[in-house]
Amino acid sequence: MKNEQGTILHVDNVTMRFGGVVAVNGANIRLRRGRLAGIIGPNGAGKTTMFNLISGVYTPVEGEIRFKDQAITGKSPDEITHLGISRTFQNIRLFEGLNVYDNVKMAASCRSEYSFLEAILGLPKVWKLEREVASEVEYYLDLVGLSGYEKVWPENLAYGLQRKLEIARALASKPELLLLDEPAAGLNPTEVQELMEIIRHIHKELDITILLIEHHMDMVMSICEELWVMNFGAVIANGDPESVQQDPEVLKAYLGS
Amino acid sequence: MVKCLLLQQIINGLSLGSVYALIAVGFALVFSILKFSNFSHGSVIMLSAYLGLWFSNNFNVGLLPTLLVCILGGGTLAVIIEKIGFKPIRDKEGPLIYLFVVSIAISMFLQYLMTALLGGRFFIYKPLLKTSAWRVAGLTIPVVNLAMLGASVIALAILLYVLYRTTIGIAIRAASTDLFTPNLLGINIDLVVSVTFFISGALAGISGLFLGMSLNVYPQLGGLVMKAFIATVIGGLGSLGGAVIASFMLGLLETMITAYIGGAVTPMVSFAVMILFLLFKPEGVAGLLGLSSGTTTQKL
Repeated sequence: MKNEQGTILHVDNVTMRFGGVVAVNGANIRLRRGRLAGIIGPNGAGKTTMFNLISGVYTPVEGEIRFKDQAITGKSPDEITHLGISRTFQNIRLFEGLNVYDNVKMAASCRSEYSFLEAILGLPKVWKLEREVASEVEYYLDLVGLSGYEKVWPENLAYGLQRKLEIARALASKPELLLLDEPAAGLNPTEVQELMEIIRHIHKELDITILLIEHHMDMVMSICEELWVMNFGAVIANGDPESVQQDPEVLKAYLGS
Repeated sequence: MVKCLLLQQIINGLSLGSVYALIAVGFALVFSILKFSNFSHGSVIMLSAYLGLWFSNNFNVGLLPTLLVCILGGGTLAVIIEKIGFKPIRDKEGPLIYLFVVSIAISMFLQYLMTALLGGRFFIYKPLLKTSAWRVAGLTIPVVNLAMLGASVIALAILLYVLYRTTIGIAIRAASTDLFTPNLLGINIDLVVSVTFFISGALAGISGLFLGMSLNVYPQLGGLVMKAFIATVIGGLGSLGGAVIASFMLGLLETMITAYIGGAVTPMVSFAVMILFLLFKPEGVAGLLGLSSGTTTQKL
């Protein structure tokens, strides 16, 4: 298939089945580099499955996914992360045995290229890389407003802060494409406002592509430049928020008429 | 004289406890990431004891080179067992009970393999240390016990450094929450599991050498993993700090009971303590001391 200029992610006719259930059905997504875009749709529409396919948790039964013009179908999640995709989770998944700092450091140091033996011996190269990692961790914590929480255990953080920590951790692996799975779920209106600011800021400051799944329509309509609407595993509409809102298929899916 | 004897027992108890701690920490490390009790750990101890014996006899070397060989050999062996016995089950996302049962089967298989190859007899290390005992102020302290204590403490200190200060150590601790999330953050889980097994096997290698030196080498030597199992349960399953403290407690308790009541009672008391903990304090020493954050406290 011919590449469109500036497309970072191609999802081509992707289908995923679990037993007899079709979770994603021949879906197509072309995501342009630098976009802040969203996937919306009723519960069970296949949105999270789509994220799981892109991040390598599942391998599609049909179709192909390409990232930066490279096929990533069948690659393992860690390989895909190294290529430049990282994500957060619908149900927060932080490392409970690690403090806030180490949670982010974990993701940041995946790129550190030194061996186990070098690390144990504490070679100068390791110290230099460790210092770089330390300043990166501080940068990402600051970006989401978590400076000062370094030594706190994640389970002791307020829910809204745990969400922010997940975003900082995802950013620490320096993705070119960031997938946010319902980042505003469980947040109160003030926190949602704050989160929107953070997402906009990250998008501008780091110059990355962001794809998010969200149920808060206000948020989606105000920050996303482009939307895909999914229903029963299929992509039923695509376009800017205004046009998608008026799409008859979308209205039917949401109002159930 | 009575005081001297007590002091001597305390030193013996601590050195026994330190070996239990080495075994228990290796055992607890694997438990913390894969959530099953790995009884094949005992066969790594037993085979390392044979390896050390063969190496020191054939190459006529002292304690340190033998120790190094046991560390590398034990670590490698544990990784091989993981790749052959556990990885295929993990890849198919088989239930945890399969891993547990396979670990018992592997340990039995290797025990009978060694019996078939070399017979059930005892092999004795040639003296690896220049002096066998120190006599200080009326005390007689076996040097092997001191070496055991020293090596264990150093190994545990290195482990602590690796777990808390290095990337791979933080990855191991992250993997104890769950294996799925670190993978999605770019961590190669198979590598983390392999390194964990290597560390666990290396610790088993150290304990194998010292147990072989003090108890001689025989196919059932790996049965001592049961002591580590008791210590990890008393310590609070999955907690490394708890396992270390419980190991020293267990070592002291066993030495005291053997010295003052009699060896026949010792194992009975150890298991009784384990049952009491499970009934009344299942979160173990770690729970009592509030050590739980740091590693997982997931139950069996």
